Amino acid sequence: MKRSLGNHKAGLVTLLAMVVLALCLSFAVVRLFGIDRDLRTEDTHTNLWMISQAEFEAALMAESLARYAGGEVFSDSEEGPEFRLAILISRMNVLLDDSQAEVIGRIGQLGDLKAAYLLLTLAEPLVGQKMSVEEALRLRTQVHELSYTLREIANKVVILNRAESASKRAMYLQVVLESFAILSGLILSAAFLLIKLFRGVQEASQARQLLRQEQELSDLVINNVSNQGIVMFDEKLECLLWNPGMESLLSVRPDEAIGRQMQVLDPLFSKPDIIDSLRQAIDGTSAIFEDETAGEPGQERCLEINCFPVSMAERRLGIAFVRDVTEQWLARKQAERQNFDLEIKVLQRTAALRQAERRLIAAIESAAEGFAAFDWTGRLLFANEQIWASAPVALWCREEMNLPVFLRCFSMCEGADERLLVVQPPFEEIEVDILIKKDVWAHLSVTKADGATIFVQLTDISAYKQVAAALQSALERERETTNAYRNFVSMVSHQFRTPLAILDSSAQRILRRGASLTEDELYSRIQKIRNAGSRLTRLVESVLNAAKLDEGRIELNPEPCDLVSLVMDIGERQSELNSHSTIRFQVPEQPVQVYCDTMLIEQVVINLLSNAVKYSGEQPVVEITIWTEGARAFCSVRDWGIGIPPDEMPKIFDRFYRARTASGIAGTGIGLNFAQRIMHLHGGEIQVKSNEAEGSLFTFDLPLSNVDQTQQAA
Amino acid sequence: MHYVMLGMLAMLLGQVCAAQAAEPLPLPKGPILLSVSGKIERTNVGNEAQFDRDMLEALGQASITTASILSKKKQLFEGVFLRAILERVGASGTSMSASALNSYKIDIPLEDLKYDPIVAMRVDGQVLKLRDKGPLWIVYPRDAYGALQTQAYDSRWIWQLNKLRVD
Repeated sequence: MKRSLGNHKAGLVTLLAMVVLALCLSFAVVRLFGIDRDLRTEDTHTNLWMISQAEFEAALMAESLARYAGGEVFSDSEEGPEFRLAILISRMNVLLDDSQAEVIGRIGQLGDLKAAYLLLTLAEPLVGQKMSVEEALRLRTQVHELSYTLREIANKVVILNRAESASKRAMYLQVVLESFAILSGLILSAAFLLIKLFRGVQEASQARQLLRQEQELSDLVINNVSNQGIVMFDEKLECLLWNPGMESLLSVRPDEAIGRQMQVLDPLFSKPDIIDSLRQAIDGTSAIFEDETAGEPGQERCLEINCFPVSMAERRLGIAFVRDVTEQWLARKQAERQNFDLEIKVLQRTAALRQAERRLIAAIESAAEGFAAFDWTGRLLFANEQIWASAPVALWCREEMNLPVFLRCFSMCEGADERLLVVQPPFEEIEVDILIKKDVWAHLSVTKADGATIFVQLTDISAYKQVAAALQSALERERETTNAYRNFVSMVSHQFRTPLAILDSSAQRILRRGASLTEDELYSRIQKIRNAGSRLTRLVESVLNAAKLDEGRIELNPEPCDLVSLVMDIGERQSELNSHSTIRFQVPEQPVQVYCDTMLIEQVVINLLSNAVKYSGEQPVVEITIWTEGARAFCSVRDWGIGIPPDEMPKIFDRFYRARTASGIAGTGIGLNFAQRIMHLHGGEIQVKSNEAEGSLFTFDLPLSNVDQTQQAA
Repeated sequence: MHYVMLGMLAMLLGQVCAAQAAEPLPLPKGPILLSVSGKIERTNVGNEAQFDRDMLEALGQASITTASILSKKKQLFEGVFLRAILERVGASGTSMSASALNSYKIDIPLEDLKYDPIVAMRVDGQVLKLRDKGPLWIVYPRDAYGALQTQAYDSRWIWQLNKLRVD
């Protein structure tokens, strides 16, 4: 195709060149015609001939005049001067005519010629009459001169002619050469075109031959394909080709089929949808379909028909391939039937499975435990009501439930750990106890079955947990009691031993010295014994108080009282007991009415005040402050004594506990514990701030008692 | 159109001439303008047929308007058809030799008669005299036929004609 396009282009160029050359040729021909006209009209030979004739006539005239002058009588009038003059004048006339005059004018002799002509014309009447001999001789001389002039003119014209003809020849030669060149070009182009044409014809014949061979091949193929029918048709659905394959399929011979309407050939082609497909193939759309012919078992047939558009010799045609696919079709139908049976079976099995599943689900639903199943990606498969109802799930995870989300719900519960937060496939098995809501403990277990399904089980273990907690607290109390007793024994061994030792040593000294004892010495010994006795009594009292409190034997009898006067009384009494100590008061002037058990609060204040004095060294200074804040009254006791080490601060309210800094100072470790427990009974608390070696600040608070409360209490 | 009318007139005159053709030639009365010799049937002086002006005028009238090699502008030539003269003398040849008073000679094939050349006696209404190509001048309708515009034909425009010899 490309080559033929190139051929076309070359041919076109050649044609164009030929047109141009033809134009040039016609131009050359026009020029040749011009030359022809030139040669015809501008005949310089005529010119010369005219001049020579005139010259000859002038010579004859001169001769005639000479004879006349000689007195000769002319027998022939044609030899007489009159006749000869007429002839000469006519010759001169011709020379002075347009074309001849132009040539003579070019050599610049026209003036001479005209002068001579005028002379001759003037001489005419003279010659007609009898002229004298002199006149004749004079005229003869003039005519003779004319002949010379004419000869000169002839010479010049010849020279001019030669010059002009040389240039003309050159010009003619050029034109001829140009024409020749153009002609050669034309001949070459024509030859080129002819060669092209020849080659084109050759190629065309080759192509035709190839086409014929292909045609023969395709005919051979079409006619020998016996298992496939091939039919071609035109836009009127007229059959153009019908191969033996079609014959064996539809029992119509090719010679019966070709040239007839497709619809007539077989009922197959008269079906509307098949006619549609054939027409679509003509319009350029392929189609494939199957045609089933019902019949007795073993007689049914299925044909596969492929329609394609074909373009042949600029005509839009259609081709259809028809194939017998009965076997495949039957096999497919068999397979479909088996498939159907299989589907029925699958449906039955599925129904059975569904039923089993429903039973299982019902069982799971009715179980007391929460149960959920997830697939290996963490997607929820199933969860029973107990799972949905469990507190964290119900609160947080109603939507978009999957395993990580589900476990994250539980991660907020007490007992959960980070394992619940970092879940992601593949999931690990987890066992954890968590508090899912107040007083409800659950055991959450995540287990994997077959490595794919993940089961989550949520078991309520509150009862177990409660029992465990009770056991734990009993154990704690037991341990505490044991600890208290150990502390108590230790305290007693220290605190009781010292006064007992004082008692024993005093008694020994009195026994040993006997009567040698002075009055003062005896007095001091007895005083020591008494002090030790009272100390022992205090110890016993405080132990008893603590025991009472433990057993819950101390009852709270609250009544309104003035905290200021209560504290002031205790302070004054303390000052009397410890005269070396200074107690400062910062108290409101008005009474501060509080609601409390005066006896017990007195114990608290005494304990705090005696502690302050006891742990403040030689010159104790104690400051007591009372103020109100909101509905509560506050009382603080400050000292600048030994203070409490920071690490021991949390323990100072433990029973029998004594700070490191307190060693060497008598005490049971019961006082503060007792005071704190009294304050707890009142709904208040003792708070402590202390720095070691800088002193301590103990503050307790009590509810204010207004008139209404007083009345209510009453 | 003009030529067609002239042609018709010429044919009419030709028929008149044909009627005259049988008659013997009268003797010339004036100066002889043309003498015809050779293969002719009718003669009046010796074996020649001699014509004076009146005899020629009697052969009818013909005219041609044309340019020539001597004159680029068109001129009106008047005279008689050459054919009329030859028929009058009963000429029966293939060519004729025409000669002039200036001794010019030329052979004219008789097939030239198809162009209807004339023997002119007047140019532009002026009677031709000896001093200007007279008294007789053979004229071809040069402008009417391209074939006539060549030297061969131009050389047959013989002027100062006085003799014709039919061969």
